[in-house]
Amino acid sequence: MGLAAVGLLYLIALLAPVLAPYDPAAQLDLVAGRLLPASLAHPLGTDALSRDLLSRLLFGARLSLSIAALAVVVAVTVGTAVGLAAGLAGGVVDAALMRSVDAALAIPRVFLLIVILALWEHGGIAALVLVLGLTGWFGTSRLVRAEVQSLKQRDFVLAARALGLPAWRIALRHILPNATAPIIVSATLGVGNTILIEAALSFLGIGVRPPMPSWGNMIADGQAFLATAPWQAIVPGAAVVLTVMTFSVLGEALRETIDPRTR
Amino acid sequence: MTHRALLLVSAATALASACREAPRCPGDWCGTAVLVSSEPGVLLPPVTQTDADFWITEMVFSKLAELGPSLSTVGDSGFVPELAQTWAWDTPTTLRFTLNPRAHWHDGRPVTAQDVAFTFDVYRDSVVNAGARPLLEEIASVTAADSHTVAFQFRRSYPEAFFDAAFQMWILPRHVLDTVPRNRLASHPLGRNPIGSGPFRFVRWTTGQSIELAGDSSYALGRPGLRRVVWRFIPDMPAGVTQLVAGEADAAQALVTPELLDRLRGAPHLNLTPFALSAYSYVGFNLRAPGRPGSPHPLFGDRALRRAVAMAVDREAAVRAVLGNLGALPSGPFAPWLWMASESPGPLPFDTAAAKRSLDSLGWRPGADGVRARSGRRLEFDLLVPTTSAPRRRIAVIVQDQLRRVGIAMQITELDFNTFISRAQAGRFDAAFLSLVSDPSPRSIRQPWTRAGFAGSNYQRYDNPEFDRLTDQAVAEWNRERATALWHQAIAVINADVPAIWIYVPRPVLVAHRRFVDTALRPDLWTARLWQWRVNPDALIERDRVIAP
Amino acid sequence: MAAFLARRLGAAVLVAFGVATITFLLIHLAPGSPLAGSGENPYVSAEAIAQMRRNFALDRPIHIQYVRYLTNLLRGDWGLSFTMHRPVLDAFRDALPNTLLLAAAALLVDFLLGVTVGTLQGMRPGSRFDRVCSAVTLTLYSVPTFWLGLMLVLVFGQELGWLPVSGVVDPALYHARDILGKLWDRAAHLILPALTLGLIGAAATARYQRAAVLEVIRQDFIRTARAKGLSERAVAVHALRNAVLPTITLFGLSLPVLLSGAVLVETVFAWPGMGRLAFEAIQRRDYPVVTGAATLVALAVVAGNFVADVLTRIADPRTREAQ
Repeated sequence: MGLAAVGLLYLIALLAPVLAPYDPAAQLDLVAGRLLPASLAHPLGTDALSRDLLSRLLFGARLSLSIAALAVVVAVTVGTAVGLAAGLAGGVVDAALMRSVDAALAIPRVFLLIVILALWEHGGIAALVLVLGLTGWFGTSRLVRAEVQSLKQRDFVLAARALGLPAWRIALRHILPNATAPIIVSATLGVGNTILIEAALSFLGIGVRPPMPSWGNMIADGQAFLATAPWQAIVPGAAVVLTVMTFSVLGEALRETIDPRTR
Repeated sequence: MTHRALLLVSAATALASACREAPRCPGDWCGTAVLVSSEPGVLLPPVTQTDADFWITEMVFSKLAELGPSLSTVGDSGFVPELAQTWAWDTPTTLRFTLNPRAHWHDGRPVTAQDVAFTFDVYRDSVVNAGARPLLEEIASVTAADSHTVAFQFRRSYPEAFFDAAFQMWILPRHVLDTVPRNRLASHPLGRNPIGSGPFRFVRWTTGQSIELAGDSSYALGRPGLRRVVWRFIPDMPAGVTQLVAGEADAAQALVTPELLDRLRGAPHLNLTPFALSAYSYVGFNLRAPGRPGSPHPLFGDRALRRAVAMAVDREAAVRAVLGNLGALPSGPFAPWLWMASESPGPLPFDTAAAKRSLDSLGWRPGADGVRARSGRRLEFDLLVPTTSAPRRRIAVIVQDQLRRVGIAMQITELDFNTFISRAQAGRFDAAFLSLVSDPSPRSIRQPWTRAGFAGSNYQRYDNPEFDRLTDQAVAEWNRERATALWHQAIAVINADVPAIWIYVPRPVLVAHRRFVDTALRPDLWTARLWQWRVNPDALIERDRVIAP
Repeated sequence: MAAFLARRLGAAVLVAFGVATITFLLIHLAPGSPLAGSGENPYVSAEAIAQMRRNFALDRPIHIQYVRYLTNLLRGDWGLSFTMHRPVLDAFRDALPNTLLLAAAALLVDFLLGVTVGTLQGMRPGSRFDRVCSAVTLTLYSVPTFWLGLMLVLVFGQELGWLPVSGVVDPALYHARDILGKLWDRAAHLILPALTLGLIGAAATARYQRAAVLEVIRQDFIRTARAKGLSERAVAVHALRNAVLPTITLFGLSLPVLLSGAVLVETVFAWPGMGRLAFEAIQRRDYPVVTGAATLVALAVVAGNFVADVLTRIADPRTREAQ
């Protein structure tokens, strides 16, 4: 069910240009069309610049979901590589890598992201994805390393090693496939988490920059009208909650299917 | 009359009498105003920078003379005494002030001529780096004749000499600061615990939350109307409006959006007075290639193109949509209340047909995607906008849409304020949505728009010798009418050249609770006359009766 | 134990040093310079800007600035704020208590609510209570912190008008109040921000605690206890004692999350704490405040982990032997 819901979300995001009744950046009527409540023409009303809120929500979904997914791909790739390296190499390399990961985990991630994003001239969405990805792999690397360490002692790996296969081949052919399950679970949960962080950054004005709609900056825009037009902040927030929840449900369902211990 | 009605009436009477006797003024002097603003950085006059710094410093410190209601900066007739009781010109270049003998510091010591001479020395010290330092260039020396007489010696005679001498410096307490090394002056504890000679003395500063001031009953010009002022720090204007509407705060200079204005209007206990600020915001075009000041900008080096772009922008619609009537349309680079502003020639009119014609004739033809191009180059540019300014961010999006309709692609790049300013200063931009705060003199037009500002605020590198010549003449002209005519000629020149599109002059509203009376206001600095505000003794509320320690 | 403590302490210092270095490099190599306020002044001049750079020693090569910063840091001099013109440590001394108060209140909400709900759920897995709570915690877990704050402001601040929504106290009346009045003033201002931060943490804690209790309850000694006819209450106490251990570990790990949340909550509620101070400093390019805040935060997180480690060792004899 979780899988179907996530599929539906991505379908909506993919079809945003077809589904959206208006151009999300078009200012339809600056004189009479601002902050309209919901109506047939505008199912969710309009914002302070007379842009259609539903269209912005749909395009926001597109942006938020793709940023999160891509960032998680980056994070999982880096995390897996580091985890494998640490787990297989052991010794000094392992210690150095894991202590660095400890240090990185000691900085609150939002704080680190704020420092990077607020200070460096923004390089658009690509930079945001990269930064989110590169600050999100620490947990995955720990997970993979732990998995590798337990797999290392298993018979099939010992056998492969006895046959004299090179280490990278053992890693890719024998260890990685067996460590996939926990990686997938953590990636699924990671997408939801990344959506939350992206929303927070955009809310602070350093994530996705206007006029591109992201759920975070839609909430920030709506904050100014909390007293007069509260739906401006409520609607995009609810969208974030539903989406993140979907990913959590999927993640937990996957975990239960893959890892029978928690059942 | 039934029994129940009788009961109701008596209850009402009891309630009414309870209300009448509840808040009473202790002594003959009370009243607390809670004002909202962002948190100031420092309250030491020469290093003040932000709006909040100025607003609060103005209440704690004082100047030799203040700007009077005419707001005229030429000569000395427009000024009213503050620390100085009288003044006289001994020669055309020597100005002598006699200090008010009642003037004193909040620690009890008298204000002396030595304090004035010391203040000038600090403001001119390059290590202190005072913001007003360049404005004091024409003053050769300041010397104390005796403890209450101080003489200003000017290098030459000019119309705004008095303005510079009296208005640019808040007088500093020499007895606190004279032993402090100048490179440590900015971080001296006095900046967070100021001792001034103004109408209010400093009580406490709770970081991140509030500053409390108390009226100085022995202030030289008379006791302030309010006994206590509390500055409450708010993160943004919507939060401030919420507090004003809820009655948690009493007054503010509110730069708001139309939606917030509606909320303020909906609160029956608030009085609203719109006025114009001494700042103007404009889209400045870089006339030089980004990063290469030696060569002209590939687009905006062309005067005709700048004129076409300007005509495609409907300033009125953009400003009305974002600011309602809380933004005035400037006719040039100055605030509309400046003495030379009335009947000034205006900028090019909004005319899309003329803009399109002009673009066509310049060879910019619409392409398949609607964006114009000329010999392979698309008509597109980047507009820098600071994230700190909500009106600018919103207006930029509207202007983007307006330009798109005539086939011009404008990208918006939002930058944090520091990066924005460093990009502007380095000349690395196509266009930038800038804003300038000017002093009450039209003289401040020269810095950003003439050669004199090349190393400073003339980020556009606008350079027209005719404009420079006319403004030089206007600044040197003693006669108000002739000066006004010269200013108008200069404005006509710059408006024809379009180095920038003048978008709006913010019109904040002075918000004040109805229980305050005599809420005087000076548009360049709204707290300058706040010491004359009083509270209606019949409308006191709980906090009015609290007295500062 | 002493060797263990020394080793952890050494690692902590190393981490703090690393964080200071990373932040120093990030901020000093970033574009833009600390010129707040001077930019929109028509009289700004290249000369004044150069003087400002000299005054803050920003004209020196970066490696010299770095060495100077580190040696001063070791001597307890964290530098002067560019925008506030005061020692960074003074600014922290004002802001830190507010953040600690907020974090403590949030942690209280977090653990009281989270452990209670999680334990109750774990005792009766599959019950209606369990299913309802699971749905609620899952939802809360998915709520952006700042949005929850905004919604609480909307409901309790604006619609109902029950609670103040910004600041720590009412500045116009606080100093005139008696001790009880002062306490209530503080408490009223604390409720909404602490709830915002605490509720989301509580959701995570409850889910964690539920899993831990489930794990324990399946173990033999609980079955034995139940079989011996111990009351459910006694069983719960038994289970709780064994299940709270992983939650203690969670405490150490939740600190960075809590501080991340604090940045946002402090922004929404105008709470004058470290998060807001740091965020504003970053926006104004106030280098010494940013590097100082990062170092301090890293120290706090490392200290949190350290405490969690020690607590775990005391609570669980097995790890004591293993180390």
